[in-house]
Amino acid sequence: MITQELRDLRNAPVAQVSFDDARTADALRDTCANCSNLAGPEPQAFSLRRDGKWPLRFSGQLVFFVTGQWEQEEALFDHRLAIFFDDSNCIIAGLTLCPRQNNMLRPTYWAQHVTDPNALERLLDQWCREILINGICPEQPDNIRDARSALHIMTAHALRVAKPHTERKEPCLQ
Amino acid sequence: MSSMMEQTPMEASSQTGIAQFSQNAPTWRIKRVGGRPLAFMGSELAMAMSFTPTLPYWYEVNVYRTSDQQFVACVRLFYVSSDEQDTARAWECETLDEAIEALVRYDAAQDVRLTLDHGGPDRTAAEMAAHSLDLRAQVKSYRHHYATLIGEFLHDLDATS
Repeated sequence: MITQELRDLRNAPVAQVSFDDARTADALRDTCANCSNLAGPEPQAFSLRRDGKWPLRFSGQLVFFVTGQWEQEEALFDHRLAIFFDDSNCIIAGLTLCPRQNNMLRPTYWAQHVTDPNALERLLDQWCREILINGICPEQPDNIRDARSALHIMTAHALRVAKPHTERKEPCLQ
Repeated sequence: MSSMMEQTPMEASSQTGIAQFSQNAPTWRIKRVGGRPLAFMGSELAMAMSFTPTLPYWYEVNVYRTSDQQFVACVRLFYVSSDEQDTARAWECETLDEAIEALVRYDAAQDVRLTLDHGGPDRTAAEMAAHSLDLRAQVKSYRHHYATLIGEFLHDLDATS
């Protein structure tokens, strides 16, 4: 519950899109998949939820977006991975893990700038590691491999099907 | 739950300037862990909770504005089991940003209950290490749980009205 009084005190920002909005994600994903030579979608304002922090806000474009389910030790998760380019051509990655019903876990949200060519790989490893540490998966060798493999497969699939705007300049790796 | 916070009917204020605000402001009294109860007149600006039916505990965070235009941030921990003691921590802040920052910086690790298992001198190093690992896992679990609530709260706060 957040009162209007509190919003007025903070001077609520202008409307922005969350990549959790399925309709927006579907529209952008269709654009990327079907239009390799046309101009990309107009930049939009995004707000990525992050655990323990303010949302990561930026203006840019969704490059690819993939969803799926992941089962680990009889626990079922819905996962979503999204990669964005912001207006300065910096790469931003966002990952969401939502436990299915009757699971003793809360949804988890990560979002971070990708700062070097191998950063996404390290981010996936880091998030896998955090998943294990937070108890979503028991920390056993097989589970470590399965969790990491699941995210790698998910990312590789997304890279195959996505067609980002080809006229974009080289990404800014800060 | 009700023992941690008491809200009394409005009280007339003899102070000028804030009389109009005070006449409509309830009185809050928050019993804090390890400190004096925090009592003030004001209104609740925001509340968020992490209650999940399958979890044995949940957090609740609150932000209040007092009648003298200051702010109070509060973190409450509730347990499903009646054998556990619910707790509350609250801080007075001069600005809204300070109040929100107090919620963000709160370390949920301090809520982990330390149970001393007196295994005697025969306890092996491996047993002690296992106990240490269990404590560390609980700390990470509490921190993660609280962080998910804060992330949800800040996301809702940052969104449009």
